[in-house]
Amino acid sequence: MMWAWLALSAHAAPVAYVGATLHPVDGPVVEDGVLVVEDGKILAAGTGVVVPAGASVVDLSGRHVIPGLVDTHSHVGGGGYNDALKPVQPGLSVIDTIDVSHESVQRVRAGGVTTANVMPGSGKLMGGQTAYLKLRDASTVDDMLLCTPRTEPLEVPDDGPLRRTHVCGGMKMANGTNPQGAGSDPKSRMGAAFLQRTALAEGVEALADGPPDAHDLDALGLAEVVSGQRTVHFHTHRTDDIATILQLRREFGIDVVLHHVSEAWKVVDILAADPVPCSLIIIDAPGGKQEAQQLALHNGALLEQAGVPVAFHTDDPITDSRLFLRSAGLAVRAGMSPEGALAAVTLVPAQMMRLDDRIGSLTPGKDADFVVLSGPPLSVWSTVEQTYVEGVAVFDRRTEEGQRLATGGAPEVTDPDLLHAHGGD
Amino acid sequence: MVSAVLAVASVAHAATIAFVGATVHPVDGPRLDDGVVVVDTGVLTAVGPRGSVVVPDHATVVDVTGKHIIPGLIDLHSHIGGGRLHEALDPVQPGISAADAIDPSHISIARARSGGITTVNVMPGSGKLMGGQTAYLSLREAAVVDDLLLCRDPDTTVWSPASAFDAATPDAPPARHRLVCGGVKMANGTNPQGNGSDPRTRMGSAYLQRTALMKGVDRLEQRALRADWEARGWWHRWRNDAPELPEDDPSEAILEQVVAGERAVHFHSHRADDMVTALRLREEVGGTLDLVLHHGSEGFKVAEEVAAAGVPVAINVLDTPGGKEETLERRLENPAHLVQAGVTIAIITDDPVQDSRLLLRSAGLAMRGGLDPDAALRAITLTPAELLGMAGQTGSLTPGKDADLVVLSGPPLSVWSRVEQTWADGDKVFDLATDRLVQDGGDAVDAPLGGR
Repeated sequence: MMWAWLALSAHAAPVAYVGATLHPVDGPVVEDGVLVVEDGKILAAGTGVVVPAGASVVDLSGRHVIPGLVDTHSHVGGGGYNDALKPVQPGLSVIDTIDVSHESVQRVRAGGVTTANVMPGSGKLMGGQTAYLKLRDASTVDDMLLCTPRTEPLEVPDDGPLRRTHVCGGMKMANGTNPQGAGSDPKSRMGAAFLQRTALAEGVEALADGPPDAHDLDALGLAEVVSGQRTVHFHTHRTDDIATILQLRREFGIDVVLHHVSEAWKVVDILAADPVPCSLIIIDAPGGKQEAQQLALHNGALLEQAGVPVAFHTDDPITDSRLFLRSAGLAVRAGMSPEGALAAVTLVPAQMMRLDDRIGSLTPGKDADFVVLSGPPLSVWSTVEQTYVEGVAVFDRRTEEGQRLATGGAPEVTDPDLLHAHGGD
Repeated sequence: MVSAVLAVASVAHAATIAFVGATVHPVDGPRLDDGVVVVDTGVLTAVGPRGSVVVPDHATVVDVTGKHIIPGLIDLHSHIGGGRLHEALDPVQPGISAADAIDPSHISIARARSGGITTVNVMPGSGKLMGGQTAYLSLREAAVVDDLLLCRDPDTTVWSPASAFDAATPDAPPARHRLVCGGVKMANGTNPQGNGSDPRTRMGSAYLQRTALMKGVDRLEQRALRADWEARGWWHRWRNDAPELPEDDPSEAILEQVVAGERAVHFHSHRADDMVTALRLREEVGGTLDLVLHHGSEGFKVAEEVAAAGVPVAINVLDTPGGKEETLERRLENPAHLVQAGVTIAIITDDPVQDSRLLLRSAGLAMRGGLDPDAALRAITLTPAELLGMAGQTGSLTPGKDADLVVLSGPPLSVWSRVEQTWADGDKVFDLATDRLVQDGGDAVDAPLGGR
């Protein structure tokens, strides 16, 4: 199904967006810049860029342009994300539960998000495989997946279905209170760590005997994790839980991104010793559960100063994807540098998903994923005016539909075609 | 008219019958405005315009001037037979068969005949990810299900009653799971979620279905390995290392038939994302699955993807969407839209969700939604016959096929037309003159018992 988006992203003439303040993220801010897009890719970005002959020109004077936002932790797509088959279920994949026509997916684009890691919930120790989605217009989830070919020792000939040959997401794990207590779940942190350690050890052991049988979905998922080909996105809040993960990371050499990390401020030195990427949630009302009560707005600032890679995430629906830029703004309010905060919702999360070779900054050669803002990126007054994915506008606030997506509430039936589908006229 | 009906009643079991004067819709060829259909001992022997067909001297001639004749209808998705079709032993239960839950004397079967249905796929419900084996039935007159149940050896394409297989080798009748007497029912979306050991999510559903199908793939691969060693004469290796293939495990044997494409998968799926998940599963097991998507309420959203996969959709056409969230976007234009995109479609009742007696009306509503009338009639006759692998025997008025036909009072898709007679395999199994209450009545009407 890959051909569908390739066809969509094929454009004839280049387009030059001129006059805006460009925030490339991998370089200094440029006033009155030019961004040239061709065939879904960034051709050039900066000042003194020559507009190619035949290019159509779009005037963005007074606007700001930033890279498309990258959300490392989201639950959009309307799916059920907490299954309860067993406490450790590495063979499950959210690919099978995402409804790309769900309105939550449209709204994400209204917030400027162009790439999202859609994850299973934190109700299980290993909840399943996550999906890296490029939020292009597509009618199937398969056409949105961002995939990387498997490598040794799990390499397979590149002629089968995507999920047999590629890794298209990470692995969700969780500790703390969420995955405890229900059904066959552990009742304690020691039980939780035991089951996680056992699963990872099984993966190592199985891999020692060669690549696992591709028909054993759980074994294959574990093998991808312990061979470092599938990043673990690990839900955690408290310092003791963070320490448990760092121990698992040392024991098994897994590629880990810590998620939430509410008590990061207490253990900055430990996080910085062998820097572990931290994807933080920022909410202005901590609470809701005991583990999150010590969540601090200055987590981002402290980690930035200590040299730890920092990203922010929405955890949508915990925080609304349409307000993702506000998370970065609140981090600045608590002491983080504006440059670091913008990178924390663009380039750094792209690095955490190992997709920074194609997204995360306005760099020639990367995908033309960008957001047109009415004002400076972190101002509370700025609005997302358009969101582009691979050169295609997937959100436009100037349209009636765009207005509704940017400001509206719960999904409602507004499609006249739908309402009158059976009227016979 | 009354005398004509009586005349037909008296020849119900005559060896050779010629229906003369009706508008004949063969489905595999153009309509005949003044046609002749000749039946000899249960088989169609001639179909053509009056004058071009030689009516044998010994034939009983039935004047059906002013009537219409169509092939017996084929319902690819039904739950008739009075059985309980929701079992809950396991989320994936391929060993269970609907054939063990069908009562041939149940009124629902007589009603289906009164709606013109002569062949039907009776399915387990959609409450499980793999609910069990479905049963392909010819609705001929029979007292036990084995005489209705159509089976074939996996290596052949000829369907015969299960009882014929048993009679052929009375000392050692074949285990039912060695034959193909139906498809297998699968389901995704909300129905198979949330009870007992069921999954809670779509991802859990797909995981369990994928795991089950992979078990079938494993068996196929192991069988190929053994055959390879046999061919090479590697008997030592064969004796020591050949994988066990328990042939008497009905569940595993069925899974193997499924992934080999020997047994069709009838896959309940409403939403676009669920339909695409079923396509993904098919692709992952190697594309060999003989997959038919059922319902496909949001098919219009992914018509191109379904067409590209070459997977057919069996649609139930309801004039009242709703009942559950997944079906809210259902629309009458869905069949026409899918056909336009190049998808093969059938139209189904899902009886009791829709009444078998109104299958022709479903086709009519699809026409109202833009479907070509010929395509609408094909979607309840020849296309479902093809999807069952039975087009060599039924589905059109073609010489050599079984005498499955319906005499209608008027044009097939008119709301005014009535089924007057239904013939299945040469038996007249419904006659409006004697069984009017079966066609019109409610639940209190008993099934007619023989005597025809």
